[in-house]
Amino acid sequence: MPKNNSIHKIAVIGSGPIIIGQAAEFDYAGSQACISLREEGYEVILINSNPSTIMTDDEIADKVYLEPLTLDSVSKILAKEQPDALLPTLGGQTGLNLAVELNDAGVLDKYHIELLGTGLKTIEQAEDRQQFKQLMQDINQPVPASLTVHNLDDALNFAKKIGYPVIVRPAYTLGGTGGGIALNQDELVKIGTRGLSMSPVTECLIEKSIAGFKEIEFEVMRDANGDKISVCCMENFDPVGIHTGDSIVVAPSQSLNDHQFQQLRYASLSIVEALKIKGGCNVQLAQDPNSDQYYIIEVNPRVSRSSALASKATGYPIAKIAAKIAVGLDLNEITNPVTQTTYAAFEPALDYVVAKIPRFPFDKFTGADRQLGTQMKATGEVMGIGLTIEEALLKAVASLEIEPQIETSLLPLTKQTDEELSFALTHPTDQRLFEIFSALDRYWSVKKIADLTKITPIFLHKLAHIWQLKNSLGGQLTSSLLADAKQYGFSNAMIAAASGKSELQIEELIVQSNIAPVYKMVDTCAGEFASATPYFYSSFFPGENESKPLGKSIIVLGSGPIRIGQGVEFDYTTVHCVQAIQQAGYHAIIVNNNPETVSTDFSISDKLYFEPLTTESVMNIVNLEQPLGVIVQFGGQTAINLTASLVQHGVKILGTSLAGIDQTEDRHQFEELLIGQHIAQPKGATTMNLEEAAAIAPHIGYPVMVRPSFVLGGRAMAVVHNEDELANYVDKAMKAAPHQPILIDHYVAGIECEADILSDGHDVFIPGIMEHLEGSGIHSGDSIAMYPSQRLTDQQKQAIESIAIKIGKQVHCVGMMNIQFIVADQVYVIEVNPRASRTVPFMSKITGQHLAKIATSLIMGNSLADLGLEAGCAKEPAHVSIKAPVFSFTKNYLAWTALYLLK
Amino acid sequence: MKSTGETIGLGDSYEEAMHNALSDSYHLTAPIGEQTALVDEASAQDTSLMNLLNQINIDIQVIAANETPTINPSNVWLVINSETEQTTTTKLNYFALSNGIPFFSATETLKGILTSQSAEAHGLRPVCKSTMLINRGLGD
Repeated sequence: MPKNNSIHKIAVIGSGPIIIGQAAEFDYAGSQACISLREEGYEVILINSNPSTIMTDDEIADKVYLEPLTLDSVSKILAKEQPDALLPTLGGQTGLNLAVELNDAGVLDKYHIELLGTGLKTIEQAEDRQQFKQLMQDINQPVPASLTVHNLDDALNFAKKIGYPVIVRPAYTLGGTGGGIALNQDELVKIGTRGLSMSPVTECLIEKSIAGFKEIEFEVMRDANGDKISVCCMENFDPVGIHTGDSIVVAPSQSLNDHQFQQLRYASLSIVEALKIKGGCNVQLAQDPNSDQYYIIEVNPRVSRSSALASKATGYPIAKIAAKIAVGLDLNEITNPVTQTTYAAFEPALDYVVAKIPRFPFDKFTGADRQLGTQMKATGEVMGIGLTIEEALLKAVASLEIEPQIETSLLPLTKQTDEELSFALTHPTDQRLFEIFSALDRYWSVKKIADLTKITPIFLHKLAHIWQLKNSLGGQLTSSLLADAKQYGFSNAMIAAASGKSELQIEELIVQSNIAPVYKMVDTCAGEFASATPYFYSSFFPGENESKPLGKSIIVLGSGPIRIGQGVEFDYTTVHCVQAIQQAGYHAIIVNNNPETVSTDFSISDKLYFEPLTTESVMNIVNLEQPLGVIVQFGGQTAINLTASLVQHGVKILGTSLAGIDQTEDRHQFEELLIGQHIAQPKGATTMNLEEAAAIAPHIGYPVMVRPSFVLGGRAMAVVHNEDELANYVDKAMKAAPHQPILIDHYVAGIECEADILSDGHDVFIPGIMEHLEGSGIHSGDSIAMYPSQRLTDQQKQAIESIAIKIGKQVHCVGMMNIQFIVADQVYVIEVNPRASRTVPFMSKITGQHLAKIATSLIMGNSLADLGLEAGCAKEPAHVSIKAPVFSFTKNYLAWTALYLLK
Repeated sequence: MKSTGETIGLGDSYEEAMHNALSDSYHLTAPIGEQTALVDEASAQDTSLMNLLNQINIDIQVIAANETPTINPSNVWLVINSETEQTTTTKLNYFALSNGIPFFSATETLKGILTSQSAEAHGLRPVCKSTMLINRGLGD
């Protein structure tokens, strides 16, 4: 069917702020969809309240409303804009819920707004448990038997009827607490009573347990004509019972036989047909490991986290195609953007394996319950691509940026007894992969581990193969052994840990053995058709290198997985950096490993390397591409942390030099920098014990802020006013992080503010000074930030400006930096980040200046004057902009919630 | 740091911007009917906070953080707990979080917000492609 010409203006609803379970994948989907609709000539109106995304960039839609995603606010926008249609399926659950609310309130009818894509009836059928159950029964698709109960007797009767085990899911409890699996009547009495009492509405769902089944997902597309394809089949490494967002996932599926695969594929296609989906749809299924029995778990009639993963796994841009289907185009009318020669109706095929591993926030949410279950806890994810499962998995591990010792030894940090390990394997946490390695290290059989974990043996055999290779690395390191390890995904750091040699020695041995990677293309069709996708992954298996150096190129390092403290804003800055490089006439190459984001959309850059952000991976790419330089300023701390070792390897860093970066990052050099420029800094010192602390504190001056240097999240941070309080708190800090230094700083009570600065190495431009609503002591990322400032005097602003200029000049900043201040009796500097910061997208959008692009132009050699910018602080606007944090406390049971711990 | 994301609020005034920013973050809106603010014992010591709450004529109930409130959740406007050691399972917090009640764990956040509450109607401002947000009033 040709595209819908009766509509001209389309409103798109975004997904709002990032929370656990609804993250950067919707920035990717939303941006793709908006671009896709504009390609077709439609006027696009975007509504989203998240300032940090690419989606809310002025270039993505014709008009962007940075307004609340509430019925009232969106109704007003629709009344004003009077769009012909609304596309609700790209903004996650938030977008869908809002579309339902708008419909129920009669807003869509009132303004004659047509709903595009999957209809509301379908959405309701997929989301309402009863309607969904009925539909599945109508089309003969099996769902686990379930019943909502309000008393124990009903629960027991139902369980007797369907047989044990059953899952008890209490309604409206935090993180599903109070639920569990009952293996028999006695257990159901216990768990059912607890669940009913914990549920605020005394309600539980009793469901036939399929925990331990294989969890399989199909990403399916259907057009209005009824044509359907399966884009990707993904298999969860973890069994049913762990949220798919918290599961390790591989694609294509690995353990299904052909009959099972076809059965599940057929079921998925039948469901999207019955639901009359128009666009993309995610179908989750459970496969009995011991028979051909399967069940439908759930259906998401929209783009999702899994569709982002499937897009990156296959190269097939699901959201882009879904948007085109929504405006009437059929799959056989849409060109596949990857091959440019086939149509979107062509099912992708993979000649490689991808593995996704979730990134959990427990490094920051210390104390939170780490056990995985049906409530998602991860904040982000990484993906590894390889020719074998082993390689894909180990690349993903190397991308996680967790404790380096875990990443390289592949073992948990703390030694567990056999009993503890058995318990851990039956009660999986974020550490389960490393605990399985620990079990393999104890020569536990695959069967024993499979019995404990319910993980499909094929995956455990792959882990056993990794472990066998790792053990062999402890002996004589021959060339063939090294080649083997590299082919199965071992990083140099992992080989170094296994062999007891240094990483440098391994690097040298690899060079001596002539072992080098080749790069393979992700082409969606397993080489069946010619394609020119600029999307590559490395492999050490012999083969042709398919990535030809671009020449005149610059490499931009991305920021890896989304985690607390490093979110989607760094993807925004990475994408803007790439665009500025391209505008300047150079080729931009991205290295990143996060499948959710816009930056890993291969159409964003001239070339995408989907690789771990490690010195080794980056150097292999540098050696091939021979770029003019590498930019590290936009990929958060991930990229900055690689600077020193890249410089040691002879890489030219574009922008602020390593020396300048060190001046701000090294505590000692930073102190010298501030003293040299007569800039005040709260006095501080580092100590290892109470005696020293008690001696130092009076010199620093009470009140002092005490915090262990390695425990983040503020648990053991406190402000103390005298020696008694100090003793009490140091004791706690020592317990929270034994043998780690404790930082003691004079606590300056005052107004906290921050500024991003841009510099060409000579002059400094300050787009604006943001003031935090909360005083000093609360992390800037947890504070409400306001621009322009509401309480600072002109004199204080001038002092901040003058300090920012001094620091920028002194470190010869080229590009951008972020400086944080406390304004009290005078202006103090508390921190300088030698890179783009969390506030860059916010400030860019409210000042109308693309700061990351400007910074990139400065890095490329332009002066502030060339860009028409005057040195000094920009004039403040009359209107007010406020950035407020969003917490996902409901998703992390037992997490610490205090924003600061002032006594 | 504990936040996972952020939201933006724009306005011609501080009050309006704050109102918009809070809609999708703390989800705090003007109290409906006779809603109550649940204040933990530590926060209740903060006289400036209590004065601000009193100024807006809201019912205040002071409660121990480790006590589960017995009040109907729909009658609660917000929960503030500034105890130093608190988690999502602290009874007062659990009550707020499991019932979707706006929850604050720093008195300064709430104090800042309370000074900016405004009931005025709010206009709409698109970011125009040519002008971006700084001139967002254009074309209205």
